[in-house]
Amino acid sequence: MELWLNNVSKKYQDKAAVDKVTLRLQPGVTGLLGANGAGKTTLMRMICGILKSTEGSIAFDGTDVSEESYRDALGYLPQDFGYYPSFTGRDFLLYMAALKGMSKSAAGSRAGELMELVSLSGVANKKIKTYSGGMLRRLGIAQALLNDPKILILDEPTAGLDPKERVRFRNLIAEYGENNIVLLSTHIVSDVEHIADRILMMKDGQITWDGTQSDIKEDLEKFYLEQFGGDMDE
Amino acid sequence: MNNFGTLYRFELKKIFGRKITLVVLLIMTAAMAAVNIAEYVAVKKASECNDEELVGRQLDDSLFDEMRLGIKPNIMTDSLGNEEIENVEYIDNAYRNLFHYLLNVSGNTTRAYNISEAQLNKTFNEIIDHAYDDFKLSDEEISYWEAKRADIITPPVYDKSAGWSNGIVNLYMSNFFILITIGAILSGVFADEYSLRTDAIVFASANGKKRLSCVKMLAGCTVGLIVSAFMIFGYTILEFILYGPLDPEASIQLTYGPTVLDMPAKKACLICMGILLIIGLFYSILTMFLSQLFQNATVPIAILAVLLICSMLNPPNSYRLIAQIASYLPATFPGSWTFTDYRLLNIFGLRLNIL
Repeated sequence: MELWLNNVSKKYQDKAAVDKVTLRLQPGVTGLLGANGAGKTTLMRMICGILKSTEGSIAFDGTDVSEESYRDALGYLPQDFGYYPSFTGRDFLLYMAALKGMSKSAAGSRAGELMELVSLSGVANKKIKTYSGGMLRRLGIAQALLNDPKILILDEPTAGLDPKERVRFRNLIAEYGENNIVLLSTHIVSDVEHIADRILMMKDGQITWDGTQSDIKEDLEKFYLEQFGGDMDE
Repeated sequence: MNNFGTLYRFELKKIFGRKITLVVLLIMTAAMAAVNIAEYVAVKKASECNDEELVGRQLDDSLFDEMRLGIKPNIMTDSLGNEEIENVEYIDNAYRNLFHYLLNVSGNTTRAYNISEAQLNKTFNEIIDHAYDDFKLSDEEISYWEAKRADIITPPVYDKSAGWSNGIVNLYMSNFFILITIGAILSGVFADEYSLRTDAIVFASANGKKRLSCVKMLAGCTVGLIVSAFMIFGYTILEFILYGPLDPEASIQLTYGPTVLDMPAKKACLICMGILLIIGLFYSILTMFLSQLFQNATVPIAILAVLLICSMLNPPNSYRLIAQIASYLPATFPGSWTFTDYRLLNIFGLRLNIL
């Protein structure tokens, strides 16, 4: 199982948001660190087929990103997760399951299971517009996991979660990453520190560092600050 | 198609879950009720016209003589001493609709009161000849219509037709309401995905691209057709309540005035209803196309408003091309004038009657 990004670029006029990125991602959690504007979200949107790359190719086990079967294997939680205010939490998951091509019966049981997992089963039949920020984030995580994706792309997944929920979420992702490809973007270093098998650092559209926790002799946050010369948001 | 039914149901839920949908539907239903009540008050007397005995009679001199006995003219004298009929009072209510018809055709109360069969025929022909001239018809178009003109029966046979003629006026009005309602309801079908920021998760899912677009279009078209059918029904049902079962054989000549088209008013009304349903479908597709193109729910409404304003412009018939194009604007097209517009559509040498 391999997600291959080959020389991927995204240019807006003369500016490269992502500049010739080549990566091979295998099962495990990969943390993508970088300041705002580094190109993390653009890279993730290209991996999800939402944005077309200007150059290069993206494929999962030989299936190109533009193909429907590629999206069958994909789960995505965007940074600014949108929802339909008039839907209940359960309706939202059932709708997303239909979009992902799941059968009605599988969708029903998986939605219930995930609602339980993200502690939303008590409010499953309430309209999403009544949910708090943390609840929305948890709903977003649930929809990303609906189809048991082989590739799970999470853009700032822990934003808005309280410390207890964050720990719970990290454990969930670590467990999921054992058999699947998880790419987790964040600028909260501690999120990556605890669960990432591999760490990527991104600056000005390029991968500037690629390694594992064990390659770093010092504290990850300190190392990150050194890499970016203090160019961080936090 | 994978999960087509489920996605379709959810798309309908999204459309009806928008606040604007409920608000617009409520306002439009209230407006429809107001128009119907106003019409009810205005035409109640006409609907009570006891003209059953006149049905089936030729509009000839003997009928006009009877009519003159049944109505009382109020005569006024102008400064030059000429006598003109200002208005009439109905001694016998049976002649109310007949007199209204003659007034519409002749355009003058005095002429309508004093009309003869020969004069009516002459006026009929003058109106048609004037239309040929006004629409700047080519010789080819005139020959096309002259062949049909030979088949029409003049003067027409009297029938109960007021319901049909009021119905077509209301159908024209319903067109505007259909345009506004569909524009407001469907403008968010694609645009809301962007404004709610759900586009990312939708496009990243297996069915989120082409398949979902098809489902959205289908759901939008269904809503558009239901709205159109509801408006058409709402704006014509009163005619059946007021006038009872409408005579299916009533002539179009009697309903919409002189025309070379030979068809019953019922057929004309059904044609207008059919055209309106197609127009409702067109509005739906156009609104959703604009919703996707601009990724914004306001722009489609603005463009439809421009279409509505354009349809109110009435270019003079002397500018044939512009006037003919304007007459095909969807918000202008179906009305009583549709049956008296003799300009043919030239497509690859084929001259098509739009009806």
